[in-house]
Amino acid sequence: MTLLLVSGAGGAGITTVAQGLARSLREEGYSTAEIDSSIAAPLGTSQVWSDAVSTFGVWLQSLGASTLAAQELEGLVGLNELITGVLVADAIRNSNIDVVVWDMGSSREALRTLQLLDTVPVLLDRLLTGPVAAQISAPDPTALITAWYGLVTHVSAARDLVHEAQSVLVGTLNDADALIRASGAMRLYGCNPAAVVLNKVPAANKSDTKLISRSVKKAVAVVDGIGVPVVVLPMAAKGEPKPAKVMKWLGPLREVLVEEDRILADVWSVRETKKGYSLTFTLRAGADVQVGRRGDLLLVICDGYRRQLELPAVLKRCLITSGGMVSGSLVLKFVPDPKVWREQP
Amino acid sequence: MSSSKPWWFSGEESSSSSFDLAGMAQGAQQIIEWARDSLLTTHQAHANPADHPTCLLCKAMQLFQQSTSAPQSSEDLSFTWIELDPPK
Repeated sequence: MTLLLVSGAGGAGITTVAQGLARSLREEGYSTAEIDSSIAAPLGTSQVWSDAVSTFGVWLQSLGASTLAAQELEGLVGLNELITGVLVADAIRNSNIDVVVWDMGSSREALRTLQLLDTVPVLLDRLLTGPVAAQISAPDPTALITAWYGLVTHVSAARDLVHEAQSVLVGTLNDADALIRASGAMRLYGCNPAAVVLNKVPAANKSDTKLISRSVKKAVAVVDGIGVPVVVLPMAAKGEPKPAKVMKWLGPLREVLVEEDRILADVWSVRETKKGYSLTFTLRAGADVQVGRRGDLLLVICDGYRRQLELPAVLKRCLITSGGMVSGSLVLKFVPDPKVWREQP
Repeated sequence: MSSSKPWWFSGEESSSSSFDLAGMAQGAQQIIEWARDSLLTTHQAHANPADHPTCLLCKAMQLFQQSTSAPQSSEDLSFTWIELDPPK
């Protein structure tokens, strides 16, 4: 089972690439599902909605407010992304589907979805275990907890799948820098880029061959910094190329994404050092990064995007001694906290 | 093995085996029904847990609140920023 996330610069042909890729996969015999973030998800019929109603509906009722109807929230920004994420997770679990292609829209929209999928389970979990939960007077506490747990599980499943997905970034020659920035922020949410598509590259003619080839080389050199294969797609003679045409051009990309047995490196890892441990978080070279810590939580901000991470067990009892960006990766050095660990006799 | 029934055993004695799964299941069901009738049903009417010290669920809720709603200072809620070295 493979999940392909397609996003990139707005107007660069993200949907055309996603559709062409899905077609190409079907032609090769893969059972492929396409999910488009821009289409409003069927909220009322989804399991996640029924879980949400069972939890927050009861909560609202206990506060004396009337519960919400699906129609009141249909298409709401944020909720739609969450429901789409859960639909993707459902499609992935379907044994009849080999590949799911998720058209996530522009990088900004994709990052918002990734941020939501990452944050919402943490917030729901905090509500469930926090003092607010104790205030809820539910007629059937067991059903409430089951539904709440279902809600957290559904959203967490979608988030975890994103961590195993292959992300395709689409842009034109002018978007190379934007794609590099998006790659760092996507890695922040555990989403590892797998390929870059430079789309709508003008066909060279006699007068501007040198100019175009120079701009292609320049763009390829920039996106090469992401460290993944780059596919260059030509611009169609008239307007947008049809998905059937794109499908043929995307053959090499399909091979890279689905047919090669690739294992994407984890975006973050912990290793033992002489004095303690080091945590390495792959982001991007030149990223504006800030790091904060509160107890067992690490807050990493990359180019304005924030992610809270719970430290791995081994680092919870350690102090951060130093940190910095090394070749596009955030490296934090940890030593055992002398207050917690006794000195060896 | 003792021939007397254990305290938790509520099923009929079987001549072939000292364990009767159906009986055990029935016993478990009885415990669940008891918990539902005596705990949940009465607890539903309890608006303020502090007013019902003999209710098990109110007691649990109070303990839960005490353990989770301890006042936190703003210092506990803020992140300590880590000074990063210049990029290499």
